[in-house]
Amino acid sequence: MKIPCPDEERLSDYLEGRLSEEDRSRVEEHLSDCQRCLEAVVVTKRMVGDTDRFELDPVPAEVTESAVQLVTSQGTMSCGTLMEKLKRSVKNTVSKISDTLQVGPWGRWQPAPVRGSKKVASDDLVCLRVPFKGIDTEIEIEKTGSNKAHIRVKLPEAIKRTEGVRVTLKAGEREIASSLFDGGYVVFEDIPFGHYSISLAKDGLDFGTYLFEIKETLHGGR
Amino acid sequence: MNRSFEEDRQLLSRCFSGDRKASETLVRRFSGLVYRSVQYTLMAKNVSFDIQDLEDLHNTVFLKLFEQGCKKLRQYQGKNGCSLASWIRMIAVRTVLDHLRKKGVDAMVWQKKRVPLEELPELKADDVEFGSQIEKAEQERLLQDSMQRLPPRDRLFVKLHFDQGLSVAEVAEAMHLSIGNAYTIKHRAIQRLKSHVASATNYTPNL
Repeated sequence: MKIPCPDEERLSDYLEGRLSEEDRSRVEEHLSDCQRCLEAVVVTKRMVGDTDRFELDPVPAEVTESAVQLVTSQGTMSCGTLMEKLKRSVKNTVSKISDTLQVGPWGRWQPAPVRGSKKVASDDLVCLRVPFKGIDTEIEIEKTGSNKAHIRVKLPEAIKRTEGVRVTLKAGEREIASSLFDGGYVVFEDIPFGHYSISLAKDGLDFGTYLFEIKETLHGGR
Repeated sequence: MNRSFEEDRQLLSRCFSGDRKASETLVRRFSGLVYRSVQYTLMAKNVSFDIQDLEDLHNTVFLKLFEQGCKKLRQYQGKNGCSLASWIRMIAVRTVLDHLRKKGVDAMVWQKKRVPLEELPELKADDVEFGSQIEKAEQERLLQDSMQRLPPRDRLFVKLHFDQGLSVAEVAEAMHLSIGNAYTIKHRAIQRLKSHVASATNYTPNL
């Protein structure tokens, strides 16, 4: 009868030589018949012993941020639900992407609790409905030139409640611009394509962050 | 990366009690390690991938750790001295491999794997022309059958060396053997394989 797979700690202990002779034999007996565990051990062994074999890219700041948001927003909904919603949201978004101007959330699974729906108004204009906590916004992203776009954050309703609400545009940790809602909208002009986040806050109270990416796609491309 | 176990344990305790700041700290602390592990595993498996795949798998690892009230994270004990980093790295590797398996990138199996060229003569009985005696498929079946008859330790050695392509020195290190002992096992395993193949084909090689 096949021995159940050892857990990750036991495999690490095996690789790093922390098991008794008896435990080591048990793990080896399992490894000799279990391709799944064998591969995990081999890949880890190679990675630890030979970090120069592959040139590995450092983790981009936005990837860490997306994981932080994913993990810290779990309190509001179950993880499975969160993941399903994130996947669905992104799937819907991707299916509506314009052929020439592509605006999508960071990653296939949008990490922020704030999700938007999108419509493509024209080849160069994408409108997104983005509900922050208690504040529904409309975000228009309009291509204004090669590799540039205007980003308008608009308030279609409930303008009164937004007094003192600040909109901040960031690229990773770097703040690009920040402005109070004035006349119901905020415009960020000539923003280069890339990864960004838009946050709404008032008196230190955070209404949420929307992460997205603006990029040019080739005609006929995905 | 010289944080003490105590420091990691304190961080974990805070994560378990629902401290979001602690969860954030843990993610930031191990994000780079997880990202590199994901990348390395995909590259080691010769799978093409893009930045999006890296981000998805990176986030999947952290979700796995934190979902259901940190169920997975609570499994870490470190009782033999395993560091949190080593443990998370193994989880990242396994997560990627399991993901690939689900996607149909099968685990490499013995009969499909390459055997290092320099080892081929050793696996063939000296004077036996396998190709002329039995079909290739039959050779593979025989080899597999022979593999299963090896003692677990020898079988593991052969799989690590011939199947997974680790050098004898690397296998010795992984299995905590002396180099001399590793070569002994290698020689013994090959003899056993030859012997079994020969008896199965009613051929008596010069051993």
